[in-house]
Amino acid sequence: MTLIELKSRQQARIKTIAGPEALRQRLVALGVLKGLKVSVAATSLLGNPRVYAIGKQQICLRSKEASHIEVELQL
Amino acid sequence: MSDNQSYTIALIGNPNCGKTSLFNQLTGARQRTGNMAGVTVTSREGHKEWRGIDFHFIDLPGIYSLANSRVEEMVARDYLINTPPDLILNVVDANNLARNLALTTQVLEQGLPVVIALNMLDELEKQGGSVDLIELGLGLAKPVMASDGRSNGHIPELMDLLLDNIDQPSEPLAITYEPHVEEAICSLEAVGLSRWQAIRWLESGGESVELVNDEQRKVGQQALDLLSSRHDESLAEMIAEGRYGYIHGLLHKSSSEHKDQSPADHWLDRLTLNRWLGMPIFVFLLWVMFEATFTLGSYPADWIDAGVSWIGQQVGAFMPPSLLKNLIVEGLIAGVGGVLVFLPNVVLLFFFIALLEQSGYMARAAFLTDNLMSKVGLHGKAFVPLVMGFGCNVPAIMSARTIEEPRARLITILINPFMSCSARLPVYVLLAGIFFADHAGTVLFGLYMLGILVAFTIAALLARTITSHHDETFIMELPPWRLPSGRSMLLHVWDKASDFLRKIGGVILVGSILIWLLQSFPMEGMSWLEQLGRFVAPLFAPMGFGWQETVALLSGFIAKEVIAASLVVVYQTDMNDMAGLQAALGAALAPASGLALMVFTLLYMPCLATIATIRRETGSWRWAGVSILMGLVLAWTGAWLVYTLATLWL
Ligand SMILES: Nc1nc2c(ncn2[C@@H]2O[C@H](COP(=O)(O)OP(=O)(O)O)[C@@H](O)[C@H]2O)c(=O)[nH]1
Ligand SMILES: [Mg+2]
Repeated sequence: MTLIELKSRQQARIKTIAGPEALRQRLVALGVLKGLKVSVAATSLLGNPRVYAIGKQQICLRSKEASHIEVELQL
Repeated sequence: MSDNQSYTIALIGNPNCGKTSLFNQLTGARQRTGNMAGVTVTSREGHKEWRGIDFHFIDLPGIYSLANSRVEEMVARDYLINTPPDLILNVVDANNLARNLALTTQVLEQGLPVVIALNMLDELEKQGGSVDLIELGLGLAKPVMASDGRSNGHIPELMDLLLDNIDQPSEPLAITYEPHVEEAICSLEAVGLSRWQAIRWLESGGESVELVNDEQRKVGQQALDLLSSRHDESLAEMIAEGRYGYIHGLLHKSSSEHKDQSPADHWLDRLTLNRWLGMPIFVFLLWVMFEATFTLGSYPADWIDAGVSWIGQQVGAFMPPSLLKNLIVEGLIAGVGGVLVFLPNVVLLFFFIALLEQSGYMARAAFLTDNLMSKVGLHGKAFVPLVMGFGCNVPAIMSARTIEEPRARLITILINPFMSCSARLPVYVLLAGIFFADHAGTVLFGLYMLGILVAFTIAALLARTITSHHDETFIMELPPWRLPSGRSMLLHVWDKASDFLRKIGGVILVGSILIWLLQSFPMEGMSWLEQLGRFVAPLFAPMGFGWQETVALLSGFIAKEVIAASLVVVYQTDMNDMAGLQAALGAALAPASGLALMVFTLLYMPCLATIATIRRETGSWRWAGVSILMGLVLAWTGAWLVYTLATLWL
């Protein structure tokens, strides 16, 4: 599943990061790497964008970008 | 200057790690800081003498990587390559060491001389973390020192460390990457690239390094193709894995784990970012800000007013009646004093904006409003320039440089003048105090909201008429909550206050005298000012403005503060305090006209400085012209509408 399908209070791990080269580079530079834990930290009124807790940081992503991040649910 | 030693030191680091704070500590400068990314857009320079040697410091914009092709990153990258500094001061945020050190490894691979300043240790320690500076320094083979952007106690030590590390040999760092990547690096090295150039070429997917000949380009492309056929991951990821592998090895020895977020911060986020409460809280905070700007400001304003009228009376009693006396009392003291009384309001507004910025709330507000912004062709990043516009439109328009997509940038620039700058505040405070004394704060809030509404409407229209080049991604890091540092708040507010005072001493003083002269001559018959006012007044008659308001608005073309000064000078009868002015204005204008005058002031064309900035930043007079025309048309229509509706209502 992708990051946008992640529900609040669910925990997941980043599996792959796809999408255009520029986006991948940007995410990597911000320290969004595969293997990191993610969860939803906040949702805006209309559901897009959302804030994700990724590793130690809180990062705000729009659905368009988040949809390129494949994650794996952690139970 | 060969006899006089001078060294250049560049500050590099991630956005929001405290570079500008440290730069200010080092050089005694007062550059703007803020708890969010993107506050520093161009590099700033400053000096410090230390032990007889001149140090030249450069504060580069914050960057996450040297291998991305964004404006800020290109500024920093080109700077390091074209004019390498004598030493780099790499500022590192201790709370997010791994990611901050990823940039450090890029700099170290390039073999540049580096000293590392570990910032924000106080925050780390509060959350129960720690870093062994010696161990970290040994691991990186570079000097590492604790620093604090908020105090200057350690500055002498830091200066000595910098001095000691000038002209020291510097070995490039060697990180071993995945075998296929190493293979590619080797092939690029074989055609004459250095190792760091090869790595950066790969990391940026074939950008960021200029390849000089066909052979290099061929080998480079082959390496990229081969790697992308062998791996699903992007090269950026593969190389990042190498970097983080190295960094985790380092940190394993030198740092201890800490909690992610304190309970209080977590609670604050839960509240301010709440899906249903977030927006109402944002709007409420803005309302409180304007209400407080008005109410709290009125007390010191009264004292200033009393002081000014006392001076006026003293001068009046002391000087024999003459034209000069009239000039001084009715022109100079009245005009300058008339604007000076609004100093407390302006200071308070800046104080609140700084509070929102420094605490980290602004970045959260950018998140809350992003959806709305995206609907009008904008971008969460446009939020910073828009909010800065509440202060002054000139730096705000300049800060739109961080927006890369040309359409979004142009829109952000063109709508910025509708963000009501602090120069317009005196007019609102004056008029709202007269006509809507009981709800002045709300009227103020309403005006700012109207400005925002107009800005968004115009943005939506522009977005439909100008074609967009590409969509810019919106990826923003939320900074941690921070208690604003008293020192930087004070500096910021003091800076703004002194700007305002300087303007009073300059353009407002001259403007007041000019208005008084035009008002007093010729001595017989109708004054020039009145003639001019009456000539243009028919244009404004539909809003119920007299020639006095007309003249005030005309004078505001130079700078918006002059509007208030003009009103004071023109209306001053034989009164010498604010109460008299209020009575005179209240008698001359209907409340509906007062409201229309505020709306007109809010929307009509940008001041001269802003026009010049629009021209410079867009590179053409055309957009500056559009901005003027748009402002005038909107202001007239808006004011007329408000007047018409208000006469029905009030
Ligand atoms: N707690 C703490 N806060 C700091 C320190 N240095 C800077 N800050 C704060 O961190 C924020 C970002 O600082 P700034 O200098 O604008 O960072 P820049 O983006 O790297 O230039 C501001 O709110 C500063 O007040 C520090 O050593 N400790
Ligand atoms: Mg800065």
